[in-house]
Amino acid sequence: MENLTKLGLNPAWLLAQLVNFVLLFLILRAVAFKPILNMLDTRKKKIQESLEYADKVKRDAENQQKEFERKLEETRKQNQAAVAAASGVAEKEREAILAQARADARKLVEQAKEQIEYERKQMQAQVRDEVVRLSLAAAQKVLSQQLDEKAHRQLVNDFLAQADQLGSRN
Amino acid sequence: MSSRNKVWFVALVFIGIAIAQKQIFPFEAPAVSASVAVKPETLFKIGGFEISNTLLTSWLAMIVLVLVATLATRKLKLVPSGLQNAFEMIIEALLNLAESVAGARGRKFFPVAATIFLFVLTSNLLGLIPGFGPIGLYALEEGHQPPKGIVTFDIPQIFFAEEAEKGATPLLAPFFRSPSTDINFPLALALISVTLTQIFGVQALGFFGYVGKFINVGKMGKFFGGLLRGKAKVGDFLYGLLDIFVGLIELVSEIGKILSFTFRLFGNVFAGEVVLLIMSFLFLALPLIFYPLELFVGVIQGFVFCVLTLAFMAIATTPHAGEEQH
Amino acid sequence: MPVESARLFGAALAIGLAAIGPGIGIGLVANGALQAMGRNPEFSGQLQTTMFIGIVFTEALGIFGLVISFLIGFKIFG
Repeated sequence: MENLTKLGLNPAWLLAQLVNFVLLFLILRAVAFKPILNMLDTRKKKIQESLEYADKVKRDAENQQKEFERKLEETRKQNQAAVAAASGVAEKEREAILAQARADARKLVEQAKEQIEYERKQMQAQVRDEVVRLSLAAAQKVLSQQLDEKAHRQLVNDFLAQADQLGSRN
Repeated sequence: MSSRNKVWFVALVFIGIAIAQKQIFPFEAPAVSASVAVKPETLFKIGGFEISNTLLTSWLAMIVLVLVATLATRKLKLVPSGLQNAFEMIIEALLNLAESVAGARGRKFFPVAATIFLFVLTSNLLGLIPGFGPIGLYALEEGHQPPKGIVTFDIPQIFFAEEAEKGATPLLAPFFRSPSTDINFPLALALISVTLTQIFGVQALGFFGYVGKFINVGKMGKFFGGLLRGKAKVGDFLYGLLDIFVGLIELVSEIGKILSFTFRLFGNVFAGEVVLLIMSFLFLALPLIFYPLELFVGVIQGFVFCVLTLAFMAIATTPHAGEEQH
Repeated sequence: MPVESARLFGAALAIGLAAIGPGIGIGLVANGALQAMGRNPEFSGQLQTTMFIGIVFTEALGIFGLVISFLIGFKIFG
């Protein structure tokens, strides 16, 4: 113990240093450690909250962006649909007009054909009448005069020529 | 300028300074004894209590610390700046250190470890402030002899020439001296550190759980229990002996901790001061080379004291792993 | 004064011999730590702390020698 005293060990000073440390510990804990640790915790929480908020804002922004893009896309589609619809209507109109025109044309042709048919029928009727008349006339002639071979042939030829004439006239 | 040239340049500047100093303060002046004393010098007495210069310096360190801490935390802001920022950085670094060494319990050990670090750091650095050594009271006694156990050096003395002529040997007792060079300061810190380690250990493991680390008779009891029933195993006896022995070693190592804490801090800082003093007598500008080294040592010793305290506390609060192993 | 000279020899030898072991030891510690840091630099912070603790434990031996040297040199024992 005496040797330790020579080394500078002194119970009073040791006690003083112990008291010093405890005092410093208490003061520092009250003044520095507790407030700063609290502050660090608060700051940590705040930063975390801020980060979370930033995340949320970012997510919201992304959602909004998506929503906006979706709407844009929708609008574009609607426009396209409208354009398509409009062009479809025009096409239909065109088709309709064309069809109308075609139908008109067909109608005209048919009318013309009908006319022709009618006229042909009339012609045929006329021809039949004529033939009948001619045959009657020929028969009259045959009946009215005795015919030789030559005259007969002449008669037939006449008749045929008359018929040809009728046909070509038609 | 290459680095080699720089070294030569610095060396020449040192030599120049030394020569200039020698010209200004010739060594023929009457000498005062600057002592390398292990024991701190008593400056004055208050009542019966002697105030030593190391005690004074530790009070100064405390005042500085409390002042800085108060200034830094006076108006705590969420967004720190200036002093608050710097102080918070230190505290946060210490907290991270505590948590990396002791894990989740780090927060509990942190205030003690941080106080130790800050106290040791501040007092070590204060002790290195130029002028702390050579400014002090002079014990001027007629026919004063340097006390035994003190190695004295002669340093140039200009202010006390009159008294010196009368045959007195003025003895320098510096006002301020690094508290770590006084064995009481490291011993006090070591005692607190080791005592708190025991308290935390008991808190974490319960009294018997903690004491069981040192007095480990479980295996021995098993052996004697077996002996009573007539089927004792020799292995139990040997393991029991080993456990008791290990427990005793751990008990001794707790006391060893106090000694190693004390003498590590005391030895390092005291040796640093002696080196600086001796160097300044060898060659006046030489201490400049050792100064940064001593600053480094001062910081490192504080850091080490703090880390070791944390580590010992972490070990003390961890349940003994040996019981499950065999 | 043979006792005095023996005392000085003792003091010098105490620190001189005590410095050998820790010198080698600190070198080994730093060597290992540096190699580890070189191999995986991402753990250098952790390694540094551990290295300092290792160095300090090693250094403590030297410091004990130094203290003994002081004790002898300053006539604290005897």
